Amino acid sequence: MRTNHFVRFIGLVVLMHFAGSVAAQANLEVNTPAVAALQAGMQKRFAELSPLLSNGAVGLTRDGFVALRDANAVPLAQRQQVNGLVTAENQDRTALYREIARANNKPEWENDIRATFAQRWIDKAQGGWYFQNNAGAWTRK
Amino acid sequence: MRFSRVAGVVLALLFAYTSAAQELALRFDAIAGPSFFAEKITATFRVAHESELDLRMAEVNVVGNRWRDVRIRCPAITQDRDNLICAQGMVEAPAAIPVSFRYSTLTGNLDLELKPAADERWRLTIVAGTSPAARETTLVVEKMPHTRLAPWWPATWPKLNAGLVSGKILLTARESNHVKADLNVTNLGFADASGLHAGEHVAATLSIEGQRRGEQWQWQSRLEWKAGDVLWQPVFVSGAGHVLDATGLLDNKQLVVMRGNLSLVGVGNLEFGATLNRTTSVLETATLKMFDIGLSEIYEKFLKPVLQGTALGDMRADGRMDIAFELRNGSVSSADLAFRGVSVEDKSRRFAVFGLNGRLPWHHEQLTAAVLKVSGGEILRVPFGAFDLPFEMRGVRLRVKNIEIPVLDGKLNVNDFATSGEGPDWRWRFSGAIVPIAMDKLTVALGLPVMHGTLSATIPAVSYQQSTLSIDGGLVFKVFDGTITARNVVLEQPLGKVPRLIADVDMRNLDLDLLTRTFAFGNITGRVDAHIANLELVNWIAARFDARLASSAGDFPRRISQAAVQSISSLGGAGAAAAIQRSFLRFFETFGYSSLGLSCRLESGVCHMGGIENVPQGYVIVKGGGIPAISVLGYNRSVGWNELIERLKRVTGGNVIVE
Repeated sequence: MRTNHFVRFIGLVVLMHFAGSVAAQANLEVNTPAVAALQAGMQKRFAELSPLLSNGAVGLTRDGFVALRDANAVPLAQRQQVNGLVTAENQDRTALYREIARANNKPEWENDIRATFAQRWIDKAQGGWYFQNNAGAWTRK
Repeated sequence: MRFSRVAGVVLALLFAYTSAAQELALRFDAIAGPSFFAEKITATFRVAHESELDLRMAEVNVVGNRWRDVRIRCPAITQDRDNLICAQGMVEAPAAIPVSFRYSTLTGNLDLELKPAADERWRLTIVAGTSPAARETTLVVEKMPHTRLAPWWPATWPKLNAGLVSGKILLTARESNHVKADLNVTNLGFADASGLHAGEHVAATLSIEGQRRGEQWQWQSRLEWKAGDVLWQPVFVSGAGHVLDATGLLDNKQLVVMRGNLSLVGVGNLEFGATLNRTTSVLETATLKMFDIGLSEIYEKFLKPVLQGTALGDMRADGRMDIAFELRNGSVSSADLAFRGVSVEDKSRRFAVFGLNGRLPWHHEQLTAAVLKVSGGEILRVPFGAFDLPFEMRGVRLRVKNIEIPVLDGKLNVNDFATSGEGPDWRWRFSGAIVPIAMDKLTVALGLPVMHGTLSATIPAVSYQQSTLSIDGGLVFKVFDGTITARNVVLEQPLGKVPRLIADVDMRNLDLDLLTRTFAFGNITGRVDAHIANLELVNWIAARFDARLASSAGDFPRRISQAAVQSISSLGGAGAAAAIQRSFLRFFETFGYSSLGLSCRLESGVCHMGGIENVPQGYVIVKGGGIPAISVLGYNRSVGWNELIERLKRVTGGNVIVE
């Protein structure tokens, strides 16, 4: 006796979230394991970065990174640690821009993606945070 | 040392008599002494009922502090035998500062006191002695604010912003010039504009003594850092009894530290010597030595901040070391490191080296050779055993002829390891082989389900360049009674934030019975071949590949258990698994099949699927054959990868290991 049993794959929710049109038509919301891992790390770090952004010790640079803007706003004993935090955040951001470019199959778009993110970070910045304007000068939002 | 010598010529001595009082005016071009200079000086005495002194100077310079149009008045100057006494004088310009002095016209001795601020006091005592050579000058300051140091504080140093200095400076001219200073600094603060070179609440004592011989000073000093914090990016040190002792020579050409010793509490002693060319500011020679220091302390305090952001930035370090460096013309010319029981371990468990012993001599242009002994370690969670590391070095080039690293029950042979290039172009390569390693041990080490078999390889070349490790040749895994060959293996940023592995993988004749038992998938007998092209793992998770799996050619039993059918079905959702239970098929333990196959092209988180052949409704995964036969079809051609993995994990029941 020969029986065929058909097993049907049930449609799966595609977790990818595609966000309409963005600069250079890149999908900035692309969700790969690498992007997810980097974003999780950055989100965890944000708890430590947030007060430093609020008191102006750290600011958003015009090229999509963070920088120690006013070390004197941080107690001396913690300055080294804050510097490490900024280094770690920028390493994650560098990797994030690269991974998003790669996930879009356009590694050459890394710089454009970084520029788009730079503007996004600044647009999303909370009032009181510092960012670099187009001329590179620190401006308070 | 002479305190003062009249540099200018007395221009005029004017005696002016008036009817009311006698007035005597003295004028000098300039008076100069060590750390003191005054010019265009007019001293006027008015002799009446009470004598009065009125002293005006166009410019005064005391240890670098310069004032213009200085006026000092002493309204009641009295005489006691040979002493002229001004008990309550006042510097009137440029600021009102109480001043008092006692001057002996007989001996030339002077005792002068200034009170520039409520707590601040300057006391200058000159004991003239019997000859100019015997003159002794003492300056005692109490609570002098940091602002007075500003004029001679080098402009390129971080700016002082707080602090009080108290202490005594003694200048004597006996035999030869001699200076001795004992200074006590409290609450000193400094910072540069970036705030990354700064100190706060620093308390220290400085003793310095110098003796002049001809044009050269011999000096010795001791600095005790008692409290306060200093950040000198990237190093942060709290003062808690660190002591710097040094002796040396100073002349117009050079500053020489003959013997220096820095005692760092909780770290150890740093012995040093140096010659600084004062004209070119080049450190011509320097030696640094530390004996028997704890690597843990050195790493935490000094190396970790420097290595922040690199693969070595977050480790546990242990063991003892001797360190010696020599510098020539500003750069390191040789080094000698000795390791005793040194262990380092990455806190993220990416690598570890235990029990490192031996000496590592290095010279920037000469060939050095040595053998380091390693008692074990771990790389990406795979443990390795003891080995000897014989190497040769010259400058930035390192060569290792042959090493045999025991890995689990096998070995990694590294032949002709050599580095080349400099800076970002630094790279290394070696050829080697993997002497069979048992897969069961390897999979346990990697936290994977236990697989039996072996891993072996002949590797024509492993090279590392620009954070990328490339393996030429193939890694051959003999598992599941078949072979898996990985080719074109490239590992980008192996110790970075997001490691990326790229490879092409070929699988031949894998025994499905062994494979399915390992993963508790339900049983399938038969053999499969698979080819995974452009496999890309990011953070050790599949990001991209193009995989095809199909029954191997050949004659072998082909059965699939009900559990395996259910496992495949379950991947499609609970409803499909239930369907089998509702039908009579549930009475059969196994079914026959003629071939099976599945393909998945993973891209952007979606698996684009196919089977061995297409049918109008979808594609065939298992094609029935024999009695009873079963076929499994797939319908969805696009499946979310994360969801698929979640289902696979559920199906394999948390990886029940079947031996």
